[in-house]
Amino acid sequence: MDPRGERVTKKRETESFLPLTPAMFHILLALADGEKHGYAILKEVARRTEDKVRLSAGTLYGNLARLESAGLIAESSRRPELVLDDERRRYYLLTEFGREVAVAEAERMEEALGQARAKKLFRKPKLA
Amino acid sequence: MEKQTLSFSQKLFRALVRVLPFDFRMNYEGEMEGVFREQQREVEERGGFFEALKLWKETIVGIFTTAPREHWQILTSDCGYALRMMRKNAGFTAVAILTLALGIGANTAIFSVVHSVLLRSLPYPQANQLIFIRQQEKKLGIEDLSFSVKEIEDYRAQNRTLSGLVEYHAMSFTLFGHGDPERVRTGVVSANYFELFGVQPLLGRTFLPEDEKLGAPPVLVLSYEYWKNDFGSDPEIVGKTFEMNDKVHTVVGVLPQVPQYPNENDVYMPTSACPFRTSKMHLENRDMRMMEVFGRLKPGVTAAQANADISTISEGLKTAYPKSYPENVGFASVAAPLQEELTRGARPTLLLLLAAAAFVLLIACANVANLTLSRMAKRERELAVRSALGAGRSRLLRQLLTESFLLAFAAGLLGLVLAYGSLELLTDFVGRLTPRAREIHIDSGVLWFTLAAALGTSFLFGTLSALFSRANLTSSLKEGSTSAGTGRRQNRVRSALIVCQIAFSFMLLIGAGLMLRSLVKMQQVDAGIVPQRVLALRTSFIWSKYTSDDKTRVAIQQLLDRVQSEPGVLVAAISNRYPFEPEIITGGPESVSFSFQVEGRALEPGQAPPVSTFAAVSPDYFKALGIPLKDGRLFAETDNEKGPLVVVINEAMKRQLWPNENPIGKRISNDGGEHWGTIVGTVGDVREFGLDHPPVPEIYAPQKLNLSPGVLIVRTAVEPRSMAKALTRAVHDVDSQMAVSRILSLEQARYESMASPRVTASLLGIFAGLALVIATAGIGGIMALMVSQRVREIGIRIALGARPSSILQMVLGQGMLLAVLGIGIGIAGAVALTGLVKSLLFEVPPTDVLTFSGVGMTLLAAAALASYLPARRAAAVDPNEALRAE
Repeated sequence: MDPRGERVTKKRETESFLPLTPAMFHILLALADGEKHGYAILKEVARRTEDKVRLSAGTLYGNLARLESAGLIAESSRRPELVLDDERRRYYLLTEFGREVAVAEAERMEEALGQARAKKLFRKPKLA
Repeated sequence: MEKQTLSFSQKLFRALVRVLPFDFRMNYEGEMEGVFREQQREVEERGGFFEALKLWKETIVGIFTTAPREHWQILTSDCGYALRMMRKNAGFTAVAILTLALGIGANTAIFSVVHSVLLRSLPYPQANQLIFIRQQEKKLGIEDLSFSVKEIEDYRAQNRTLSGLVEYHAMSFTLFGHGDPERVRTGVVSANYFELFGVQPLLGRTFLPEDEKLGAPPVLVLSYEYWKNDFGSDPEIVGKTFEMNDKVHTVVGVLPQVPQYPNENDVYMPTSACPFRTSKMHLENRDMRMMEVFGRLKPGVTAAQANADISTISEGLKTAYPKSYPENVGFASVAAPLQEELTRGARPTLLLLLAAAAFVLLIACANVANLTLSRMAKRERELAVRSALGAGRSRLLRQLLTESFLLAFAAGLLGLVLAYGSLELLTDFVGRLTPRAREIHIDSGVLWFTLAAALGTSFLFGTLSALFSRANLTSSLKEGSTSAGTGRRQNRVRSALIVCQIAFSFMLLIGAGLMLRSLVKMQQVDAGIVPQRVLALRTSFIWSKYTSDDKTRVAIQQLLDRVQSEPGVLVAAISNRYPFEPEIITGGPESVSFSFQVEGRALEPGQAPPVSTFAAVSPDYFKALGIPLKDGRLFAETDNEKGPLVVVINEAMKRQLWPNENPIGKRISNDGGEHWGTIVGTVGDVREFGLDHPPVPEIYAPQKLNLSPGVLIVRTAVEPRSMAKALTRAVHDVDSQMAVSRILSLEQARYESMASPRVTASLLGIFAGLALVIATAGIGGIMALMVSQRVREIGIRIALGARPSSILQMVLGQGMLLAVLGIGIGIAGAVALTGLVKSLLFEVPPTDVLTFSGVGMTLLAAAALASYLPARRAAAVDPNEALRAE
């Protein structure tokens, strides 16, 4: 099999998810440093974005469902510690493919940022 | 674990979550609740009311933005899957779509008619305010008496409930100045006629109050169709002049494309321009009735209030003019919504057809449900596997419903095409029943109906099949193949569906059969004339040219002589009307009826005088039409204005008034005894108002007393229509300005008079035929399925010594049992529904034994035929192979 061909297909597959919605991107980011359950993801996103991205139960699980069915995240086999919570919590982890998509999204944003800088978009506005 | 009581907010959250798809909830509901609880706890710890409010807002918005996306995703994946399944089973798909399309198409077509004619309001502003007013002479059986000028003035002045009251009558005048002299259908109307209906002119103006003053310069308004067809939509038409009734008429406007009630006309003129309406006789004589009257209710007034108002006025008239409204005629007047009035004739037929179409759709649904069930049997393992893999039951139901909806949706589209294709035929048919036929078209209302029909259909056959297959999803996986119990239960459902199909088919076939039988009966009826080789031509004079009665009489005699001398003419006659004339069929006997008195017979107080139809005919009228003389003599040339007044009556009148006496020599009068006519002869009865209309009493008077040429009736030696040109030329030889219109052979007229029952019978026949085919195919299908399921059992039977003929009998018997059950239910249904067809039948009882037994036999024969093939296959089963195959 031609490894280059495979790479191209993979790239195309990754790019088909771009751009990610902010909620999706932040969920992937939240899982980047380890698996988490739903509420932990929600808390982490809120903390990291200083409450700018607030997920509700509905949007959180709507996004989790879609990320899961697309194979960007997966349910972890780790079971909850019963002592801490009697709720049957599920833990989610970032898949290799999910990581690639998140990286691609970050690169896309970086590129856009670079272009904005080149155009001196961040110059301070002159005060009249 | 301790049982938790849910807090209000938890309950509310659970209720909200229900908008999410079932599968999504199964997967995430518990976790979502957990997250929400944590969020709540956090907010409580921080203790902010606005924080709590914000949490609720975010939660609600989150759920309601997620739900549509999730549903949509399921729908698209289901649709994709369903389309793949449909492609895989192309045969099933095609049959199901076609069957349903026929059902939906029939319903859409009939509904588009019902919608346009019965349901939609008339296409005028505030159309529900428009009413139609009728005078009646109930005791004489006259339901719709016209109005005289005096009466119109009274109703207009005295009513309190109407914002306007207008009159209308139709005339036929000759128009000059536009090619050949041309007969134009003319509506003579009040000045505010169009204003009352709310019709704005397309060009120019409509009529003004000053146009209606006596002696005002004559003006015309053209109908849209006439302007378009005869003047090529000439934009400069306003201001052009034409000659009509010896006067110059100026066109002042053109109407937009609106439906015209009660008749379609070429031109409209104000009352002041009609030479009859402005004659002294009409202006002053309360009994000279010719006009129809429409009104518009004042805002907030109901039709019932107007009816009471109008009725009070007519009671007042009775007191004020006892001579015009004698007690014994039962004079009254009523007001009814115009829409109701215009659609009265069409209602029973349309409702019958709608019911028939609904039956066809039900049969189609039952059939497709059966097909789906059979297919489901093959798919059971697939569904069971999916179920085992975690697809919830409701998820599977949803999948099946999606499949059935896609089928029904495709069928709906095809049905719409079928309906669209049949619309012209239907419009033509309904045109005979109501003037609203021209409004028939497919609009958004019809499209919604089709969509609803498709949705309802898919729901009906989708759930039917899904429910019966759902019950055994798990068992089929366990046992590996269709278990005997499941198979039997499914077969029972299938058999029940077949029985339903046969029952509905039976009812439809009965409807069609009854209509057909009445049509045949109608055709066998002796009309009382010999219609073969008779041609009728309507002719008319320029009234102003024949200034004296003598001039008119001479011209009419010349006309008759000229036509009689034409080669190929056997007998020529003149009359004011003829049997089966389309106007006569529409108007019925009451349009040409009047009451009269018999010399020497006083009426009891309150007793109604006798009523008769009337015709003025030339001596050869009876010979031309083949009406036999029964007693006395016919008219002679000497029976003219100079001699004593003589009349000829028909046998129906003799039976009614002189059942045991000879009427010859008796005298009758229709003007209160001023003039008496002596009866000189009796002739045979004629069913001139339609073959289904029993003969009514009729008085014939000599044509010479009538000063109008009317209709030429010509018996020819050759095919009558081939003489139309020669006869028209003959008429023009006498007077080149005499117009000839509506040339019709009497056979054509007779055929046309039966158009409505014929088309009703044909449509019902088509529906019934469709039903028969669908039901027969259904029986064949289920018998084949049963045989294939029971191959093993049949094999054992044969191995144990059963003869092939007994196997054949067994299978045939099962098919016939279904048919007999279906027919039994069908008989009960047909008897219960007799009211629907009763009014449309002619001399056939709605429970006609011949029709019922004939239809029963047909269905039995069809069922036998359909079960025969599977039965033969069963009889030919090889026991060795059948047992080995298991």
